[in-house]
Amino acid sequence: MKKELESIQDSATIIPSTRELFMGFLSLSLSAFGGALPVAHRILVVRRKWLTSEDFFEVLALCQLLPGPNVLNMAVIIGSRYHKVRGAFFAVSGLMALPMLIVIGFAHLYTVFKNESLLRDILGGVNPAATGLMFAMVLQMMSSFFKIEWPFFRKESVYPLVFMLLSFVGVGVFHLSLLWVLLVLAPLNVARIWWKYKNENK
Amino acid sequence: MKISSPLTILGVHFFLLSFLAFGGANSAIPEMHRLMVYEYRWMSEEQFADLFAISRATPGPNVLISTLLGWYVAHFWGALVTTLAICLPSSVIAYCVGHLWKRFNYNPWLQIIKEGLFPIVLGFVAAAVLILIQISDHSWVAFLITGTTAVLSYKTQMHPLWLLGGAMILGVLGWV
Repeated sequence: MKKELESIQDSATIIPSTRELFMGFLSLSLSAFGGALPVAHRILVVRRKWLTSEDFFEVLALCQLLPGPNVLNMAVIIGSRYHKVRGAFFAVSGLMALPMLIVIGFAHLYTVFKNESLLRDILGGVNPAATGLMFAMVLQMMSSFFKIEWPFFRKESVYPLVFMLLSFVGVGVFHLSLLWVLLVLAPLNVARIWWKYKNENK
Repeated sequence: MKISSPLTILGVHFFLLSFLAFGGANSAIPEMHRLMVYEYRWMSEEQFADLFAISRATPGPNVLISTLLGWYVAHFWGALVTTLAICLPSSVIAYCVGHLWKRFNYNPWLQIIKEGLFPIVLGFVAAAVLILIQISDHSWVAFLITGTTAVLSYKTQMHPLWLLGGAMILGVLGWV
């Protein structure tokens, strides 16, 4: 039975070549605006069938835990899963190379035209909207993590909210260094969660 | 004593950021802002907000804001140094632990650390939003654009390019 399941799973997923890894992550990066993760599932699982949906979310969970850009970690892990260092290299190159060139093109245009009134007008509108997009991301993350139904949240979310507020004020209001805020708050909150689970399991 | 070149400074700071950026590049934005605008005065508040907006209006992973900042400070080599410095260390870590992912998911510590880090990371991203609002929203129309974009994007999952494009038109019309 177990063997049978494995063979079904194998036939459902396709092992990509290094070239396909490059092209797959290239198409992912080009359709990614304001974060690549929402498109990642559609391209890697639904369209390319490189891994099952279940595997995708397991890899995602690990990528979100690791430091560094999430989707980059995903390219490294998926690429190396199939072709070791070469696979990781091609997946990462696909993800980064072309968007980097595009962004450098824009950066160059920006340094040349940054004081032109047309560009100032354009950015006058685009800057607040770009900020709004990130605001939406915060709302999204808050509602999924704290199980918030605006403006209500659950009682057990009070401590996490306090930690969020502390890091928000430290970094956003007092402009403290990320390193120190992380070094102080992270061990405290991890210890708190550990304590919580330990007592629940008793 | 010789003052180190911008390239070295960029390299060292973005290298460190690679280890700190839990939850992705967005949580590193306040730190990038602090370095670029306050600590080294390589750009004004406004220029930082401009580069952030450009990074959102172009395709690719969020980490590309480091490429833009690097380019602005030290052109080609700046862009290359910041991008490699923030990408390489975390990629090496991901490569080393990647093959363990099956085992990892059943480890209770994964859940504990994740739950412990998440609110703090969320605070960083929220801080980035606060900083960007302070920099780029100078008029009530700008506030309105930020608010509307946030609500529309959160409620309707509308494609970001529509929202950025709409705001661009308002900007060109001179309403902001």
